Amino acid sequence: MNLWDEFSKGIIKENPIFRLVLGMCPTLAVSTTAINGLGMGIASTVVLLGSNIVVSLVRSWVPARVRIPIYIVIIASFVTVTGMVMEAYFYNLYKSLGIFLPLIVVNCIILGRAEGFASKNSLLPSIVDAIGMGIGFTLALFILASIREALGSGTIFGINVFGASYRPILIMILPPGAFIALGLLMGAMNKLQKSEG
Amino acid sequence: MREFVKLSLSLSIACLIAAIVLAIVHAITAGPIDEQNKRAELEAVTRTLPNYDNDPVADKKILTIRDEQKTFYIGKKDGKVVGVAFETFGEGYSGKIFVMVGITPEGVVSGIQIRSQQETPGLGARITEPSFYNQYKDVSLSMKKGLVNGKLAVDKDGGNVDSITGATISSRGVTQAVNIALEIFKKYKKDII
Repeated sequence: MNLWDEFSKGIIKENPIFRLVLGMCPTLAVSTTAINGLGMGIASTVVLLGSNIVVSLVRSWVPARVRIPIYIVIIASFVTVTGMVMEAYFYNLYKSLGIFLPLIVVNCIILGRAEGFASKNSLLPSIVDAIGMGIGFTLALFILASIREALGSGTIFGINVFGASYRPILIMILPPGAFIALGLLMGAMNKLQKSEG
Repeated sequence: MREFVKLSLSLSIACLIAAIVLAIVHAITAGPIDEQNKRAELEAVTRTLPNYDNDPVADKKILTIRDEQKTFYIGKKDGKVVGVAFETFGEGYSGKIFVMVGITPEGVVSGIQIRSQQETPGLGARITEPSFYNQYKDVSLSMKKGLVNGKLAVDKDGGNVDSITGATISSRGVTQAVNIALEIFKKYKKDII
């Protein structure tokens, strides 16, 4: 097994958002500003890494029929621990991510990688897979959120990009804008991949 | 039957381990979290009160208003009260918006801070930006302009508060919280100061 392939597949070939279409709920909900997209991506990557490590380590003694509840317990514990540690030691970051943190539990990418990869692979590939998928998720979320923020508020990271005369297209930061932007981005990704062969 | 026992047992063990881990992390982080929350509250008080030289937390006053305990942090300078900060809430788009409001003895808002909210990120959540909440500075219920029926109101309701584009309900929520604070202060001023 080639570790580089395991790492890079998450970024383009099996990008969680554009190719696997996993974790749509947080993707559509939080991609309103670039900073939210980035924060959600990084927090999810941390949880994904933790859950992939634990799932990979315990994979031999988890009975197949109750594996999903056990994975969920592992993921939920990681999210809760991450939340508590952040509230205690990175209070400002915790406050700005506040509502996104609990949302990570329901992010299908994390359960998807636990079930689809970590439960069948040893520790090292599982770590590499988590990092690659995490970067792919963060990148996709960041691009989507930047486009929505730029068109919908006229800013990126709160900095004005189109000048004062730009009239924001409000729908882009409202829920329908998430579907429109995501659909167009996915279409562009498909087109790109097709022309590459 | 043996399968049943094995499945329940492994699930119970997983939950037990998770519970132990969570209990340990909770025990370690509970202290710092409490401290952080207290510090954040003090910071909100500091930002909403005008210049003071006392300890508003030590000089706080707890009163029962409308069947609810409220903490009033009192800021003094040279022994004279310069402002009172306390928390109120308004109804937002998704849940309550808690706001710390600082008011001078004359009944003028010296500053507000959003303490907690669950508004839509990128829309209603922008009430936490200074460009929005700073416009409540220096407002009062005795202003000559901008009041609707003796209360503050957002621009859509004929008032002077510039609401956030696409988030009129959130803007109204904050305005409601400030109105409530000003009314409480007006009514209970004697008890507070």
